[in-house]
Amino acid sequence: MTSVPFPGRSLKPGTATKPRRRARRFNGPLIIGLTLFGLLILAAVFAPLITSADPVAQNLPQSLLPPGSPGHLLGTDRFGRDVLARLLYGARIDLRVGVLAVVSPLIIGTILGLISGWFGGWFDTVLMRIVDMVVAFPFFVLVIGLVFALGPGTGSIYVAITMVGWVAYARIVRGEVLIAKNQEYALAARASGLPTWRILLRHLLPNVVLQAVVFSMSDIVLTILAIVTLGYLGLGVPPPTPDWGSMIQEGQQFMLTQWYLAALPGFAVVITGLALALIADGLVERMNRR
Amino acid sequence: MTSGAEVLAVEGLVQQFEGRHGLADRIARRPPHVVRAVDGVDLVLREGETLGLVGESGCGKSTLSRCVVGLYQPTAGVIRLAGSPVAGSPTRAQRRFVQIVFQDPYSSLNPRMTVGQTLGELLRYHRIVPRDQVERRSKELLDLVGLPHRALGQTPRQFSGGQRQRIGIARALALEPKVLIADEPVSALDVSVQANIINLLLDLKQSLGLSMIFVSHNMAVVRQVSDRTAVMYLGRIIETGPTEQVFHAPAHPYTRLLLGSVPRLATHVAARNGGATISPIPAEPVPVAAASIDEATGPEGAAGGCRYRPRCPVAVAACATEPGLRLVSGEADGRHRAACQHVTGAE
Repeated sequence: MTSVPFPGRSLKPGTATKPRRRARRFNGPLIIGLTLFGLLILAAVFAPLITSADPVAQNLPQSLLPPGSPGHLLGTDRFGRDVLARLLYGARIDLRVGVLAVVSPLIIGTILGLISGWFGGWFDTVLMRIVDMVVAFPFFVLVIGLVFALGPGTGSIYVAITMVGWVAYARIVRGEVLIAKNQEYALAARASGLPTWRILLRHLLPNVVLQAVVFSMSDIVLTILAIVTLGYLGLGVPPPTPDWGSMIQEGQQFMLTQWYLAALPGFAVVITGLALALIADGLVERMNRR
Repeated sequence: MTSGAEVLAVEGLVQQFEGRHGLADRIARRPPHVVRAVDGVDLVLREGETLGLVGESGCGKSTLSRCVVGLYQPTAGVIRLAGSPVAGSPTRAQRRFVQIVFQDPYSSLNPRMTVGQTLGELLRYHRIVPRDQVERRSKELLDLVGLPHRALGQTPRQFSGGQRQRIGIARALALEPKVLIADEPVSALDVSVQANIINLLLDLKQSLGLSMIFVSHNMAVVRQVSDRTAVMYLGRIIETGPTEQVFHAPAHPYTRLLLGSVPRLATHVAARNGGATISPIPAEPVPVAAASIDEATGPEGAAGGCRYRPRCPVAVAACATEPGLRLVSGEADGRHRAACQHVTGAE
């Protein structure tokens, strides 16, 4: 985050008198992050065009080929499956589940936080105690427990992550609403007699939701990690569907000889995390500019 | 000047706020911490009149004005708009009747909405003009406050403080109110634009036939704009009357103190005499602490006599009972009254 220059100092001559125009400054992190994330999505969507290999087709004689082998750019795993194809098709699963599993907590948490912060009272008290209870449990223990209870598969992952994830959004949005509702623009909206739902949706929501969206970026990374972890524990996407978590788990056995089998999907997770972190930084920068 | 019909009246208004009273406090049977920001205020505003409301920070000026526009539900008391009392939350028509201009132009405008959206929303929701006339009316409002039409498409951050305050005034006027509350409308602005905004408010008041409550801690500004002045101290009105009389012959020691603490440039005479031109308000005791009472007292607030007693240079034993507003001079609306034992007129 850039610090605000002390007024009168570190101002270049002329900057103070610049007309207040809509500042469209170059937002590096946002552009790089969006580009990177866009490329990942494109790679996932156009996976069949990038590689003709089947991500689940086994070919035991061709197993454990090193990267650069003819026909297998990134080599093959122990069943002879093409690693590049599995990475690309794995992105389809992981990115989709990661993004989708964050959307419903974001929406549910934002709505509850909005209501809780605005109206206060018993609803606020009860909701915040529930939030405290959910937060008190370690995230992974709760998610693993829920997925275990619901049975493995993407559906259970969505449900489990929603049930645990909404609390963070509810807390963030509630805090923002507590500040915003005493801002004079919110008072003015009330004094002019606008209905409450309108004040909440038109005046408060746009001013508080960006914080939640910023958090959701890092939450996607966390969710992908959760899926990866669940896959590693055998509670994630059932095999042989490619997913980065199960790839890391399988590659782990060959750490000393074929280290890239675990490192390549790990690298994919890191790139995704980096892209989303950059987007989050860029959003914060935009937010601070107003 | 002051003989028009009553447009707004406040009777015995009390607004108290409770501090956080959690489960642990309830179990321990601790009483809630209650602060009475406004404690029994009577006011009348007549058509075409400007009433100045002065007092130090935390005396309840802003709370009073927020009660009047319906932002708080008063704990006790009655607010009458054009003769009819506000029951519970104000009706749509009552909302339109009184509007408020806020103090801080940097937080009083929604940063996510353009000026056109802000004005248009109000015009549409209150059906002030037909839908196809909304843009025309918005432009008229901008003309009224002296902003260019292109402001409609711009967001608040593209404007300076003074311009933002003009937008705030346009927003208040969008509902075509009869009463305008100006809650410290210029105290957040540069001195150079303060006069512009005050003149704009006075012009609009004249041309639109508004009545105005002008809340300020700036004595000089209040003297300039208001027909009548009310001085507030710790939630009560302690002196009220025609502005010139209150300023010329202040009857309450607190009013005298306020007037004495207005900074002035040293005149030749004063400089020669070596006299200090500013007499600072004594720091002791902290008034806010005195305002917070731990038990809800009766609506008369008869707890501790005159509230100003701890700071008052002329306090006497009789101040242990709080006097009501006593007549200093004048009659009817021209009455000059002060709540002080040293005033000998009738209550």
